[in-house]
Amino acid sequence: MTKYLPFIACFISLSLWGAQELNVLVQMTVPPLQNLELSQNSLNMPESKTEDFDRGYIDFPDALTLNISSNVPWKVLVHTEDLTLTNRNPPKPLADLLWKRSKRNRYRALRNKTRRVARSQNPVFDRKIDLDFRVLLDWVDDSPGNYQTTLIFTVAGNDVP
Amino acid sequence: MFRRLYFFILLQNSLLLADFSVTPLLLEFAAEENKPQTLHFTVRNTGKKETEMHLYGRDFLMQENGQEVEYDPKSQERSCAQWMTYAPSENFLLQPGEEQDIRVSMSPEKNASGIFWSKLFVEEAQAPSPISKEEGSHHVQLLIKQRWEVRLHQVFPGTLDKSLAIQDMHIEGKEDRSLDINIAVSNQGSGLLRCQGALEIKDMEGNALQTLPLGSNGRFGLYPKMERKLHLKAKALEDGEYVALLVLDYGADQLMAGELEFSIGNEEHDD
Repeated sequence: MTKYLPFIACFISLSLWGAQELNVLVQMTVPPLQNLELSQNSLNMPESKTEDFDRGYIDFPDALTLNISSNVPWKVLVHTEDLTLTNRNPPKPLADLLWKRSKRNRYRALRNKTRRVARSQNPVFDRKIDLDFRVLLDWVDDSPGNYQTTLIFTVAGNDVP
Repeated sequence: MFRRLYFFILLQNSLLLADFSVTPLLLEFAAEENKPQTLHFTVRNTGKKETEMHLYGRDFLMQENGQEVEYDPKSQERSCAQWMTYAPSENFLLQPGEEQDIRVSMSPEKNASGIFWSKLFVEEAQAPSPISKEEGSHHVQLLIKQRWEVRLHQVFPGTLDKSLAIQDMHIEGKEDRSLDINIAVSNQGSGLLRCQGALEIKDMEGNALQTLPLGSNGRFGLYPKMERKLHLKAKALEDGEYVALLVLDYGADQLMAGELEFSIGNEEHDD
């Protein structure tokens, strides 16, 4: 029996050691993170037809989707730095390009100043924002041609809403 | 054959999206004994193509409706761009998955006080290439770019006083018995106010009938010497007398409150 005493003592001491509490401090940092994905980087609006000119506009519904994920308050803005839709003479005015969030009623003219597309004080994951576009048409003022502008979508925090 | 293949690869590359992200989007510099301070933010290419990034500064002012208008850097009275340097200051290339730290340093002048502000933007240097051009037709092409905004605040601790004033509170009844409520507040101190509040409509017994949060989910910001106009819509109310109670927490020791009595129906309006 005595020959087993060292093993028994060792077992007891190991059991006591195992019963002790060990505090392990685990630290991690979650940084403020945001992500914006655009469904495409260029949009070809449909070619304008006679009936579009008669109606005075051509629509491009659900043309672009923005996907935003953010763990902090966020906002998305849009603007352009172009002064017109073309460099040709006569130019097509920038105000002839309108946009709105899909399922909303009111179109807004594209401007050189940033305009808010969406914002939230709450974190979001994969929030989809669909945008519709409309181009105003006029038989007299619109000469044939390819018109073009660059839209700049800005992602910002909404720390100062 | 090789030329065609090369052209095809170039075209494919132009169609790939240039996705990138920036974090954090707010850098707050706190001057300590007028020592220069350096903070940084990170630009990461999350897309699938090599992207050239353009970094540039802009001043801004908040308008009464909360929208911010951009101006040239160093053009505004309380711009911190005058003390700012950043590196890299030139355009830089990022491969997919690659990231770049941007170091922003502030060396504020000794006698300044309150808060100064500006912005840095990270933008794709090149717009996507147009896809096609058909002569003789009439069509519009939109090219799309991403831009990220980093807000910069330079504060001088110990010199920030918080002072808010309610300039105006006006209630207008509509034909459908709903209410348009316009409130104007101004920051009369030297610090940025992060305000939180709501307007409560009560009957004369003190029962709360409607609670209308201000700004974005009850929050709005106000830079020094600026005014903010807030618009609220209240649902239709029955004939009677009511009280509109505005309570604002603007980060000071006390709350700010304003009260307005009004009536719906045949009674005379007090406002």
